[in-house]
Amino acid sequence: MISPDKEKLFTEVFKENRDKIYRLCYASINNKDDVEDLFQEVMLNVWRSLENFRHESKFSTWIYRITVNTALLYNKRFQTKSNRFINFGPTELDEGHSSEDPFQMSNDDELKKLHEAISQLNKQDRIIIGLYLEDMNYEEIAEIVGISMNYVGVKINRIKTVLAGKMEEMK
Amino acid sequence: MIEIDALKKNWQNQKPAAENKYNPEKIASDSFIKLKKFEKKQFRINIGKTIGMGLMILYLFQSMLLSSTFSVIKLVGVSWIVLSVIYFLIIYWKMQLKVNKLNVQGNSLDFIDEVLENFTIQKKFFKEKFWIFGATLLIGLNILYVDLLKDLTIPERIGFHFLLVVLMLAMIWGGIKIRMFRFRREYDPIIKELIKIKEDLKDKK
Repeated sequence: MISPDKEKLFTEVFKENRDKIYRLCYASINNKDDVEDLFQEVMLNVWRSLENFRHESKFSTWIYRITVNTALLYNKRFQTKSNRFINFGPTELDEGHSSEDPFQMSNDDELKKLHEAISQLNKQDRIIIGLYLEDMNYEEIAEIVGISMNYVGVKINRIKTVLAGKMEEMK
Repeated sequence: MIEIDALKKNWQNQKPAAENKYNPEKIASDSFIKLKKFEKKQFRINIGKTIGMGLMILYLFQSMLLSSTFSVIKLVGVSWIVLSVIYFLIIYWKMQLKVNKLNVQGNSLDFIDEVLENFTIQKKFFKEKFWIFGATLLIGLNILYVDLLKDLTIPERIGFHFLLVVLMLAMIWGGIKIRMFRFRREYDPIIKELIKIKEDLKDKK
């Protein structure tokens, strides 16, 4: 039996965090065609884990932990087919439905370059910078990833330098 | 030099292009309906599998008990096979359940450890435990054949038993090989990737 509270909570979580989660999914995988799949997987894991949220950490940290872990394990070949049928995009019944990707990313040139540069990083660095760009502080990132705050700082500085270098090359 | 921090605001302003076209409340409630359907479907599949297996076992026993050639040895053989299949299916399902219930809420390093541990258990199951399963099946089938071949001569009976053992061992070996090939193809890339990520993060923890 699904409680109405769970439904309400999920709807709130979905509404409040959809864009953030989607951006992190987008940053964390290289094949952008799979972003929708990964996003669905994350939402499914959020749904399954909602009852276990213990308020020991901030809700945003909890959501990001699920997103990061799902992204870490995400592998097209490894995914179970049963999970893929849930489409969290608009249904065909929605007014104005078109084949257009509902999650088109920005057309801003600098951001395009940033996306391109991020896609050249390894998975863990893509995730860490994705969290950083969402304004997570070192402490929160350390809590999500499970490494020390100092190492988060070292990593982020290193990643930022690499990204800036790659973006300069693209000019 | 490009300042990454200066792009933070723009990054966070990236929103779904079609946001205005769709009603977020509607998307959320549609998603919820889909999740409910998904859970119901999973539940029905599991119930279906359990009922199917139960019916097969019942049919097997019923046809054996009603058969004119019913014997205690046959009953022991069939029971042995059925029990070993059930036992190994339970172990397998429990293992699968554990994979589906990975704790995605913990920190990434702990999560990676848990995933790797689960993969190791699965690999071990197919590499080692599957032989035990094959051996128990082999014992059950040989018990059945003791009864089925009782009218033949001793050399003929030995020959059939030998053939059965060789065929079964070949099938088990083939089954393990196929399973391990699939495991390597599906799981090894992600295992290698996770180990690499873990090493990169853990060394400097």
